[in-house]
Amino acid sequence: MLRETTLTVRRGEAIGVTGESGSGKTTMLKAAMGVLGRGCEIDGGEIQLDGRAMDKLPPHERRKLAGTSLGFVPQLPMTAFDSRIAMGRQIQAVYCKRLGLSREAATGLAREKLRQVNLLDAERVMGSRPGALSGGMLQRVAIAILLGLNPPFILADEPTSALDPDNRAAVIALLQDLKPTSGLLVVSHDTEVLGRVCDRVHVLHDGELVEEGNLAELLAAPKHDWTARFAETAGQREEGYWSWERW
Amino acid sequence: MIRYGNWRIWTAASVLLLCAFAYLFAPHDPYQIELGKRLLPPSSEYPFGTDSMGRCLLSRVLYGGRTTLGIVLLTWLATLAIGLPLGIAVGFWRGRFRALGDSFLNVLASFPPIVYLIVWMGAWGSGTNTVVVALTIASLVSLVKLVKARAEIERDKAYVVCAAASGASRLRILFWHVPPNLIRESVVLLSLISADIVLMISGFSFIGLGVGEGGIDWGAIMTDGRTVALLRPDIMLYPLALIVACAFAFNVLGEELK
Repeated sequence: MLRETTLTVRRGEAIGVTGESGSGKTTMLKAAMGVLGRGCEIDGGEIQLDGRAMDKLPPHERRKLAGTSLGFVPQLPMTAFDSRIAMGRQIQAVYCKRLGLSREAATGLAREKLRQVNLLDAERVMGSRPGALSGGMLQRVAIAILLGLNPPFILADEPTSALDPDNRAAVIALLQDLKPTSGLLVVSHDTEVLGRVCDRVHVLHDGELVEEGNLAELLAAPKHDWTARFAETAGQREEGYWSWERW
Repeated sequence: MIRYGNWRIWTAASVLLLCAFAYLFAPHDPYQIELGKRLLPPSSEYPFGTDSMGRCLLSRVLYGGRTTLGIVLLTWLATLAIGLPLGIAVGFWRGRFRALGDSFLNVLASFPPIVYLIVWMGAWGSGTNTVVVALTIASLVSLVKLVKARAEIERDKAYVVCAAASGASRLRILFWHVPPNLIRESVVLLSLISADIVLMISGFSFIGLGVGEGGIDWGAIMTDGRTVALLRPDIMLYPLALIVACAFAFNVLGEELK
């Protein structure tokens, strides 16, 4: 599915990846995260983290990196949490396991980080099951967990695609906050995320990287057909997405 | 969702609880043989009359409920305890193990429950344990198949991927995050097959492959009643009515929990 794809992310830098659906964006993130689905295998190439080949590590070594060295922001926060367990316990479990904290310390940290992502009623959020919270709140919880773990590298899979405009803006601001301390690899179709968060944007087409540059350059002078179409629709959206007159 | 005001659930559950615990109010010792009081018609002392050995029929029918529903409960617990982890494991397995697990299940499923019963009875002799083991194997297959199919769906769900992405071990995902999401379907399935289990227990006893000499269950009471069916046709009707009531209650419970 993915061929000849080389991407480097440094700390303090945000790299965007866009491209049509089915081009391999999510597969790339899953491969990096080590959670490739059924029937997917890496038959060549390497995934390195700080110079260590991650895909060659045994599973338990690899797991130690998950969360602590590599964070993940899901596409659909509504299904990303276990629907039967209260949020507080899920956050606590991650902190206890990844940071070696006691339960009390983990709960304290969770409370602090939830406030940091503007979920001021942290107690209510922690006492609720995922079904009782909105998509925007859950995405902020996901980011709050990452803020606590503070991993040097973060992968985000369409972090704003399921959110309303207000929450989208909030998540973009949070991703910007994460940037100084972490390297971000963001898969998105959202021009605002790609423009405001990412320093460089790569276009993935049919498993290969076909173009790169910052978003403004790509949109102004697209080389690939898909990028041209993307630029066109992005332009329309910016001009009058909410205007009724256009109908 | 379970609606707590749902009268169907409460009625079905009450019928089952009554059948299971009514033996506490049995008027006589169900094993007490009094040959002088054989085949008495219903009276105030013996509300259902007595059987061909002079035992109180009401007490026997009530104790039969304890046996039958006790076997159902044990079968449930054993099936859940084995079937849930096994189904999840087979659902999550890949490669060679998977083919092995699938084949094993297909082999188990290809024999009718009575075969397991006969095999175990040959090895262990008759008794409650034998019936529970045979019924567990028989219901295990359908539960494992259901759980396996659901686990395959759960495996690709975002929360499982995200748990893995935040460093949860495979065992933790398999036995901590996934089971609560499957327990509901499992209970529904078990409620529905419980009706079959009740019928099977009674059926086994009726053909003499049941809980054996020491135990009392509805199938055995019916077998006893068959020999005197011309004199006292009602003897067979009491256990029959309760078998029907329990099977019906389990079906209602399963349908409503869905």
